[in-house]
Amino acid sequence: MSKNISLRSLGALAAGALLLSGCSASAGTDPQAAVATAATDISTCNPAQSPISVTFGPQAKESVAIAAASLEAKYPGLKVSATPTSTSSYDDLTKSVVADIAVGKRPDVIMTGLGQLKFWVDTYSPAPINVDALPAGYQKQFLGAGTVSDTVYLAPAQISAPVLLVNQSALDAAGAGKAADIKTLADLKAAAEKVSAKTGAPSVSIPAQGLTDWFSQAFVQGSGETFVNTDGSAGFGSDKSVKALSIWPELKNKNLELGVGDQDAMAAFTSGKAAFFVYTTSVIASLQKSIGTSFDWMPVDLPSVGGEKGALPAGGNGWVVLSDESCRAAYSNALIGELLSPEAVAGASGTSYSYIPVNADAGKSLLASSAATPQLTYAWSYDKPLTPWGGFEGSKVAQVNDAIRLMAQQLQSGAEPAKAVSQAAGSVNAIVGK
Amino acid sequence: MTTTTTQPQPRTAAAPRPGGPETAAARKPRGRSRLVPVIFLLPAGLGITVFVIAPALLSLVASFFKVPLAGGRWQWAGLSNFTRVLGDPAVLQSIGNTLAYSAMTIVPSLVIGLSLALLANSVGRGRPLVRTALFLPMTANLVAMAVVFRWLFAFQGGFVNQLLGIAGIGAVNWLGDPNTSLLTVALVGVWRSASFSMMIFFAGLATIPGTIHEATKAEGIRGYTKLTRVILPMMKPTVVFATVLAVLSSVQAFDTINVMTQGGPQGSSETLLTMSWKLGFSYFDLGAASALSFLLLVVLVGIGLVQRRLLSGGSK
Amino acid sequence: MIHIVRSLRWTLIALAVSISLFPFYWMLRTALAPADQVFFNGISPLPSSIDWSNFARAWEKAHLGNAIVDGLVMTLSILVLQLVTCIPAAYVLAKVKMRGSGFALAVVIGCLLVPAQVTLIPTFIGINAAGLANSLPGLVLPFMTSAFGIFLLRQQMMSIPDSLMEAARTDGLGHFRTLWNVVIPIAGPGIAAFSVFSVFTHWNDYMWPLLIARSPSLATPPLSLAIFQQGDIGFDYSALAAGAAIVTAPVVILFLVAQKRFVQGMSGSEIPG
Repeated sequence: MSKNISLRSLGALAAGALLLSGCSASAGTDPQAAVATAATDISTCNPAQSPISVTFGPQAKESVAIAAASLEAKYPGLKVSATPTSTSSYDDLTKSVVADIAVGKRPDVIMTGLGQLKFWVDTYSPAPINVDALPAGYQKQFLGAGTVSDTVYLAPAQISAPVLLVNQSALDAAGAGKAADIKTLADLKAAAEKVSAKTGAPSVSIPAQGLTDWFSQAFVQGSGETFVNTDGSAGFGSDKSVKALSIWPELKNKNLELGVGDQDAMAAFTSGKAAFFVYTTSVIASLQKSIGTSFDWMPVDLPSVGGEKGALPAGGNGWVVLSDESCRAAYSNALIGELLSPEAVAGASGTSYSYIPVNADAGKSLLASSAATPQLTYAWSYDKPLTPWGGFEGSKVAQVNDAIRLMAQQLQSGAEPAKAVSQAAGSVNAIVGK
Repeated sequence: MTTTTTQPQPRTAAAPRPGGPETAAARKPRGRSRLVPVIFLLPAGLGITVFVIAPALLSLVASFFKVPLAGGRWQWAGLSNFTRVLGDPAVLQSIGNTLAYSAMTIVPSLVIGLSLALLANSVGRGRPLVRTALFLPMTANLVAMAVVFRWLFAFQGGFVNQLLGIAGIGAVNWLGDPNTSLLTVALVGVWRSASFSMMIFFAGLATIPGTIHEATKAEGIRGYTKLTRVILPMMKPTVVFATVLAVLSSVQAFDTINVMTQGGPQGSSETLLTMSWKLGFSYFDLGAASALSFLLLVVLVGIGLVQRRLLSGGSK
Repeated sequence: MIHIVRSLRWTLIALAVSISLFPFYWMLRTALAPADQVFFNGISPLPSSIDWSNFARAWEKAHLGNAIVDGLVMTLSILVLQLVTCIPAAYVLAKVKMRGSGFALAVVIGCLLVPAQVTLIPTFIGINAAGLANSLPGLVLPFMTSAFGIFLLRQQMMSIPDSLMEAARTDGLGHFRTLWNVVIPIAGPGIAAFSVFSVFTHWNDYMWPLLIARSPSLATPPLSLAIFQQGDIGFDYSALAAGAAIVTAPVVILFLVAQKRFVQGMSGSEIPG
């Protein structure tokens, strides 16, 4: 190609660049500045003038359909437009809602992963949840998982807790005792050593991939330590926290940890290759289906350093109100009330999901049903207090989680715990500017 | 079968012949609208301008701004996006990984692709079957295949490790070990792009007239000498084309990584593309993401220029 | 000596063919195995029994019926747009002498070299701002033309003898009729090859739909499969393998049907050195 052509094309490029920068610099207002408005008294609102929109993952498809229909029936003229997303990933859900808000399509109600509560609170100022509009039977002790500085911004809907899943048959074969006796991390290690001695292969998986930040927080808080300081800095640098997080390298150094991702870990537990698996209560139902009668297994509380029972972080999802107008906020709260009614909760926590029922009435009916196996009973009767997931500066949630994930993966591959943990605390503090 | 006429088949002529069409068309076509060719070019020109050139420029511009995905005003950021990405160890790691991934995939897939094309070409009976089998990876859906490869490389009970076990070698934690995760993803990359390179070489080989084969045979030139002295020089445009596509497919690896490792563990399989994605759609830092893509473009243009010089230098 | 060479050659070919086909075979094997045997079956070459129900489960759980329709509509819309934009442009670049066509060709080759991540984010912002996120036009429009297609077809058309073009001109054919009656029939193999290429590129595309197709009713086959495999509430491996097979099959079949043409058409696509 001749020099001529390249010169001419450079010129064209430069002209285009100037044009574009001119356009973009003047583009639009700042939709992020919109602040959600607290709900007003619903009786003063005209339903026909306050259509509301709700964006949610496929996990809540059934309950949204039920709730929207019943709300529209209660307030004739009200329109609820429901937009499901195709992926069940909370990151993708957040991405979609952020992109919608960017073009002025701010939804009134969104589903979000509990780990992203701070993201919404810190960057999009949601409306507080009207706690009085929650239906009878709603277990208000779970509202703690949706509370930021004493205000409830999120109503937990499908929640779960970190749990240790144990293959009792493998323990029996190795003479490693009972699952229920595993209270401390040392107990877990001792039992795993016996099983591994029998099988000659690693027997534990605490996958350090998708939910790592959640597991890390659970180990630290379960042992009675603080994960996030009240000033928003990293609180997991204490000696006892390091001891709790040392479970990864200690397992690795004795060749007890599989060191695989979530899906391989689940496959390993299902196939009986891993006798111990740290995961979430929400998978109990599907594990039950795929394990069938191959072996005996039980979910037990996550072990801690000295058997403490500190409050674990809640997983799963909940509802947040983003309405920027008070009547729509009122209808949004009413919709959340419907979403958390016993019928909707029973469907959402039911046999294919095994979330912890946030409505006590739903819990009772699930426990009384024939589907209540010992394993599912663990999830359905879970009533221990839960804390919010994470809690670092909201706009930096993804970066912070990546830093914690890096730490967990280093620990899982046998890194020196004190060093890896203090490095991670340092980089988390640098990210959040503390 | 390769043609044995002395004239190359028209439709398989490789490079544009210098002069040919240009000189003929140089005589101004009388009585034909001059407007029509412009109309013919317009739709494609519009598409290319709106969806390639403008975004590429926008990405250049955006790399000097703070761009909220949430909408709102762009704020001038000077070089801070560049210092941010180049000062971030995770980004530097992803750059290193991309280089390593490219090294592990580009040359092997070209060499394997060429060897397979020659091998498949040398087969008499059964050639269509062999060819079809070797082409299949190219058509595969990478999401589907990544799922399958994740099982094949599973640490416990995966096929590859069971095979190693039979050979008396201990199991390798292919995807879970930071030392092997990138290699494993690269192996899948080679499986795929070697097939694609092979297809291009295969098509290129078909353009070599049968007379060349006869002539070289008559002069006793064969094997490696024939390949390097006769075949490759004749296929130079094919080689360039295959190289360009191999480079592009290496720096754009996304599907396999997204499904098999999600960039982990410890960032060991994070590449430029997955990193830009993360910066843009997970950290919502679009300025930094643009700066990173822009740096990549600069590097690619650089490679392109060097390659061009090397290749044209070689032929003069 | 010849024997050694010959058997070495066949060994290499056998090795290459098995590596190339193995993942496909493994996919089918897993897809046909009963769900509860996937993990307990070791590496035996065949499943102990065949269970077709995996396919039905994949079809239903991964919403593949819907995804295949979406995928077809998207892929074919892109193909039509690309043919409409690329063929006339290629004709002009190959056979019409006009000012600036050298520049246009340089731009096309330049665009061929721009990797996806450079345009990804601005294109997303633009499509989103235009309100096209989560819509069929949002999935299709960014691919309305293809630099690769223009280039490939131009190379094909270059080989059309000028005498033919000359004849068309003296017969009084305008550009439209020349393109339609003369050029397109001759460039047929190239157009066919490019069509096949376009179809499997966009059928298999994962990244763009992952960004744009938010609602389940728009999900394309690879996206549905990826969502199915995320399975944060549990995994059904045999159904996943069956789903992978269903998603893979259409392009493999298309390729088997069109492969001879495809290879012929792809030759002559090289960048002039």
